[in-house]
Amino acid sequence: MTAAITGAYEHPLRKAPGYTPLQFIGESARAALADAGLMKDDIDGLAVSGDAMSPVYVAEYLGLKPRWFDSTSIGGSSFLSHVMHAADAIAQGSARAVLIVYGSVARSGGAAFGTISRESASDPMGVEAFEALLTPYGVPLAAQYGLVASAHMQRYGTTRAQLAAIAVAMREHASHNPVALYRDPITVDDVLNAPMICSPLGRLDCCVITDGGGALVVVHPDLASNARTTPVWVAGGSEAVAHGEGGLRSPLDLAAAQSGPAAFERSGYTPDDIDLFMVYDSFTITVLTSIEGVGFCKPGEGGDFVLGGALGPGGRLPTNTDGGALSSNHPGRRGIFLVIEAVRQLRGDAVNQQPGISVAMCHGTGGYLNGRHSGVSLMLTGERT
Amino acid sequence: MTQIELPPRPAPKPEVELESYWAAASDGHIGIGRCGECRKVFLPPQKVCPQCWSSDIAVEAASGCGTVEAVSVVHRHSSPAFKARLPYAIVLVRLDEGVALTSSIVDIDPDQVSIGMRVTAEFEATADGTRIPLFAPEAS
Repeated sequence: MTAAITGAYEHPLRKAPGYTPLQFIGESARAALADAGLMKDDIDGLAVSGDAMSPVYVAEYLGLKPRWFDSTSIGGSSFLSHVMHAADAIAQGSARAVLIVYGSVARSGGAAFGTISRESASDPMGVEAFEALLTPYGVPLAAQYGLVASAHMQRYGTTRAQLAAIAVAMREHASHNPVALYRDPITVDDVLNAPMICSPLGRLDCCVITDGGGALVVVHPDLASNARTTPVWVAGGSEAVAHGEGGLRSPLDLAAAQSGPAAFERSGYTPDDIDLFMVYDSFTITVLTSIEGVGFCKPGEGGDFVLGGALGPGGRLPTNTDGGALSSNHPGRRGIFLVIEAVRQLRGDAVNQQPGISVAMCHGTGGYLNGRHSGVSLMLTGERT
Repeated sequence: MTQIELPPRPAPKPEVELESYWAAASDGHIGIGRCGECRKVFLPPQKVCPQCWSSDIAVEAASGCGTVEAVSVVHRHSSPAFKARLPYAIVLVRLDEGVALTSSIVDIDPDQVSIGMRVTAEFEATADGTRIPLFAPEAS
């Protein structure tokens, strides 16, 4: 028994002054529901990443009375968890049709995720006490990724040009996506010569900031035939966390190295089976370490792996075929778009459709790569498992 | 050092879990936790041991000596106190006791900070007087 994703919608707007996050959610939910061929009353599960009470507020806005909630909020990977949890809930009979939604006005609201310190986060339970340790130092999010990049370069000889190849590949995909924020091709030199943000990461090693929203509908197999297009099947996944380990952690200990292999084991796939990799590309180093961590190559081999157009169109591992967060969109928590693009590629209706996509792996990272972060790996397939 | 002309660093939000850490810093030490049951050390010195969940925790003064394990030079920051310090180096320092912390390094051109560099802790007052550990290159 598995569950199907029958509704997937990415809101096309990138800059939307006057929009609200709830409006993005409402418009995306309506489109995803139509995609799934369901009526609003069919939805009996709701997943929202936000604060603890978010699903209650969103249920009110959408006029829903679900019998199953998921408010898992582990940063950008939350939505991959929502899909896994929804599939489990459907298998258990706790829900039959789960709506997963996201909306953000990060760009219009003036968010600057990469260059602020995360010192004023709301913490209703008082469990984020250790965040205070960073406040006096001015540690932007980008520096938390820059630290990992520096350690990777030191240990393995990885170069900035290798990281740049990742940004170039994402932009090449974005050039085929009419709604991507940036579509003009870039070169490795463009990436290397861009202004430095937090070394060794320059501006083009960092994701864009946009507004945006999206929605997914995950259903019981009995409801899959309602779908307007081909259903996509959830083939297993796994969650993981990396944290400070009481000060004993190495900056190269990453959650991907736990969640990736576990997702392969649970799904029965091997890296050779994967036709499409949808990975959270907050920064170029996130992509490189995720490729190594989930097991496409060994630690330290990522720098060579990404060369020669490996991640671009027609490459050995087409990655982020929508252009990713580096070029298409990043409203703050991008995980839902990893799943949406994987669904489009698997059913064959992506705007930048790649040939022969039958198995996709999604991998999300939430939090700081140099320290506490979540990692979620999720397998999807076009053929019912 | 030109730090006297800089706006003070923002003070850490008071957190009961970190009181012993800041108290040690005000005495000029990096306080690391040691579990009275399993004897493991950990940083920060939280109130329950992350290894064995014992509440029998003592805070010990670390030597303050360590090695840079990762570095990122910050060129952009949105808040005034840090804009005034740009560019500056954020470092992950592995203390000789085996535990690591994220801090900043002073008394050196940030582009000259390298992984493997030996550093020692020094202490600076933040906006509310709370003292925090920073690092400087070890005197040769």
